[in-house]
Amino acid sequence: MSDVIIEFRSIHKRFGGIHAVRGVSFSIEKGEVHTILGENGAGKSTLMNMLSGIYMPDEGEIVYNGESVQITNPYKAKELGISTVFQELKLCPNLTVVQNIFLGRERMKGFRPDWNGMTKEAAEKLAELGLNIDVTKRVMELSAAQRQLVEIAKAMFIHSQVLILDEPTSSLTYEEADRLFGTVRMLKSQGVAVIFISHRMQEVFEISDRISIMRNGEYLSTYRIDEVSPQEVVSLISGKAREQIAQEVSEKKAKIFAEDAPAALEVRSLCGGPLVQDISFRLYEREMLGFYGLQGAGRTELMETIFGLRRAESGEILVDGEPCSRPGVGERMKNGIAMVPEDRKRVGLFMNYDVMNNICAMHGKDLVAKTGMLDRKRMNEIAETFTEQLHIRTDGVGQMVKDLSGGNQQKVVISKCLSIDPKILIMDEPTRGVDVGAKTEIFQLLHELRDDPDRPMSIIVVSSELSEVVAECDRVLVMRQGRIVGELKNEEINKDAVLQYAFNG
Amino acid sequence: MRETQSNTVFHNIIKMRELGILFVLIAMIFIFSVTSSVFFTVNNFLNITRQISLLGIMAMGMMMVIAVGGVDLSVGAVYAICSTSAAALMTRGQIPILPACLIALLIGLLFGVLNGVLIGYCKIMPFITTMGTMNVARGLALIIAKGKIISLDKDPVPDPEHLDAFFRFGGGSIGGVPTLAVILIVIVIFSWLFFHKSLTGFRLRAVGGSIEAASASGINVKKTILIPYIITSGLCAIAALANFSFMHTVQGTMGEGQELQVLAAAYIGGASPIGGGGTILGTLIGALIMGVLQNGLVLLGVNTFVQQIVIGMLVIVAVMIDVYRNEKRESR
Repeated sequence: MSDVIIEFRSIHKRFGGIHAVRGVSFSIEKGEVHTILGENGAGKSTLMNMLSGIYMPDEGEIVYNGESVQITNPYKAKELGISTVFQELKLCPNLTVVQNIFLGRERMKGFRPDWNGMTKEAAEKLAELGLNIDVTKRVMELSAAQRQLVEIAKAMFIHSQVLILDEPTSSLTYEEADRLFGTVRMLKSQGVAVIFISHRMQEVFEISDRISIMRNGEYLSTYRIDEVSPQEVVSLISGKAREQIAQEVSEKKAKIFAEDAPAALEVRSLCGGPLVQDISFRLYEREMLGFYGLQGAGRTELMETIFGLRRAESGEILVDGEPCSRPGVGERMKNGIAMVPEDRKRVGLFMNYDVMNNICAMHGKDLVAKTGMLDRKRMNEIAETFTEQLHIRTDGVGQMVKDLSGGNQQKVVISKCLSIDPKILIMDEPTRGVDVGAKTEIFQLLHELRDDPDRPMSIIVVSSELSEVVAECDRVLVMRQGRIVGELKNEEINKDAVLQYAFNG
Repeated sequence: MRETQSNTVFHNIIKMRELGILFVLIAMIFIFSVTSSVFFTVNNFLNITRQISLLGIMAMGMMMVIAVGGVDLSVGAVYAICSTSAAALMTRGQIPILPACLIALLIGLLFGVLNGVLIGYCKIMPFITTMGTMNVARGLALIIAKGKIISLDKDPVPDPEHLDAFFRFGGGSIGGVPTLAVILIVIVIFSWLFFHKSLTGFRLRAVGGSIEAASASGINVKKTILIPYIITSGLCAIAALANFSFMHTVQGTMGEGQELQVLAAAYIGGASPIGGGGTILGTLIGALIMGVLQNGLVLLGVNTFVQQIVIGMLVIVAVMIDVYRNEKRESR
C-alpha cells in the first residue's frame, strides 16, 4: 500500500434539511501537511468533526490505515491516534497546564495521580517544543495565545498519527505562529499527518504540502502547493472566475484623502492601561480610516476605550470638536459613536433572539409606544428597512440570528449600529469569520455609507487582514505595543510599508 | 506607598483562600474567648465539634457537588427520609437494627443516584432536579413518620440487646472525644484523600472547570457528575443514622432548612459557585465558623437570630471574593 493514512469515501452528512457534506472523497497521506480550504459553511468543520468523533457520517466510510473505522466518540478518535486542536479552546481554566495536558490520560502512582512525574515530563516536552510556559500555572492565568499553545501541546503529547489544527493561529503573534509551524514541520518529519484549516492564505502557502478545496459541502479538487497560486485558490474557493476577481481588485476603492476635511473624531493623548499609551489621531469626516497592528498591539483596547467600554486614565475624546466628558457607552452613543465589536457571537449579538430584536437592541425609550408597551410595529419596520437595505438573507425578521451564516450575522450587527443613526462607526474586525463573498459585500456597504451624500459618516476599520486594510482604507494608522507608530495615506499605502511599521515602527 | 502595601496583603488573603477564612475563625474564637469565660474550654470545643458534625459531614459532599458545577438542595430531606425510614423499620417494621440501618443507607444512596442520573444523564438543571427530589423525599419522610415522633426509648425494637451498641455509635465517646466528632474527622480525612488526591476527585474538578474540555479529553462526564451526588446522599444517610443514634428520636420534619446551612458552610469555606473550586479544609473551616458563631452567641446570651444575619453576610462576602478573584484572573 501507499502511505495513505486517511481516506474519505463518499461521505455524506445532513443536519435536518441542510446537506452539509455531500459525497466527499479524498485521501490524506502520512507525513504531509494537508490544508482544507473553503468558505464558511463549505463543510470543512463538519468533515473534521466526523474525523474527531463528534459526528458520525450518514453515508460513506472513513478508511484509516487501510481499515474502515467507525469513530463513534472523541475518545475513540484519540485511541486511533487522531487528535484535534479546536478553534474554540477546550481547556479547564481552574486546572494547571500540566493537569490540562494530562487530563484523561493521567499517570498513576498507586491510587493517586503522579503529578510530580507528570510535571517534569510536561516541562521537558514543552521546552523541547520551544514553548516557554510555566506548567504549574493555572490556565486562567494565561494569555489567549498561551492557552492556544497549551492546547496544541496537549494534542502533541498523545502520540498522534493525525493532528487536526482548526485555525490554530487566530490568536497567535507572528513569532508564536512561526514557532508553531516549526513544531508542525518537526511532527511532519516524524510521519504525522497534519490537517490544517486556515483562512490566512499566506500561512497556507507557507506550511502546506497539499491543499484540498471544498465548496457548498462538496469536494472540488486537491493540488500540490506548487501547482497553484493564491489567486487561483481564492477563485476556486469562491467559485468566481479569475478575471472577475482581478477586475474587482483593480478597481481602486479608496478615495483620495483630503487634508482640509473637518475632523469628526479627535483623540488627544488618550491613555488607559499598557495597550493604550498616549494615543492622538483624527478621523476626518467621510473618511475610512484603517487601523492595523499585530496581535496584542492594542487596537481593540483603543477602540473599546474610545467607545467607553474601558475607562481612560487620561486624555480627551472630541466628537465634532465637542469634548466627550462623561464616561460610559451610553454617553458615547449619544455623542454619535457606534461600534461593531470583534467578538460577534458573544458581544455583538443576542444569539437567543431573532433578527428584529437584535437590530433594535441599541434603541431605548423611542421604541416604547403610548401604551407603555414595546412598539412591535415600529421594531418590525426598522428591522425590515435594514434587512432590505443591507441585503440580509433571512426567512424574515423573526428568524433566530444563530441560524444565520457568519456574514449575515455580521450584517445584523452593522444594522443594529446603523439603526441609531451614528456619525462615527467603529468596525473591529468586520470580516472575521465571514466568507469571501460576504467580505466583499461588507466593504461595498462601508464604501456606500462613507459616500452617502445625505448623511456624513466616518468609519474606523480595525483589521488583522493586511490586504483588506491596504485595499479598502483611505488612510492607515499602524499600532505597535499600545502606540500609534505610523500613518500612511494615498499612494503610500502598501503592504510592505504597513508591515514595516507594524514590526519595526 | 501604604496603599500598595495594604493592597498586596489583601491580595494575598484573597489568594490564600483558606488562610482568609481561618483568620475569620480565629478572630471569632478570640472575641468569644475574651467575652465569655466558658467559651475557651476543652469541653466547649468538643461540644462545638459535636454540634457541627452533622453539618460538616453533609458539607463535604455538598462542596464536591458544587465543585462539579451543581448544587444539592435535597440534603435536608434525604437526611429526614433516612432517619424516619430507619426508625420506622426498627419499630413498626420490627426489622433488627443493623439491617434497618443498612436499608436506610441504601435509600439515601438511591436518592443520590436519582439526583445524579437526572442531572448527569438527563441533563436537567441541578437546582430544579434537587428541588424536586427534596420535595419527594420530604413528603415520603412525613408519610413514614405519620406526623409522630418515633422514639427508641418508648417504641419497642426486635433486638433490644443491640440498642446499646447502636446508641454508642452516635452518642458514645472514644477517649473523651464524642463519636460524632470522630465520625466527622474520619469522613473529612477520607473526603480529603478522595477529592484532593485521587484520580476521580481530580476529574471531578476538571468537569466542574469545563465540561467541554473534559469530554474532549475522553472523560466520562455523565459518570463523573453522578459520583458527588451519590456521595452527598450517602453522607446524609450516615449523618441521619448518627443523629438518630445520638438523639434516640426522629420525626418527619427534621433537617428542614438544613440544605441552606450546608450550602452556607460550603460557600463560606470557599466553594466556587461557577464550579471547579473548593477545598475540603476550607469547607471544614466553613462549618466550624458556623458552629463557633452559634455556640458563642448562645454563650453570650445574644439573640440567636443575629447568627442568621452574620451567616448571611459571610456567605455573600465569601462568594464576592470568589467572583472578584475570578475577574482578576480573567482580565489578565
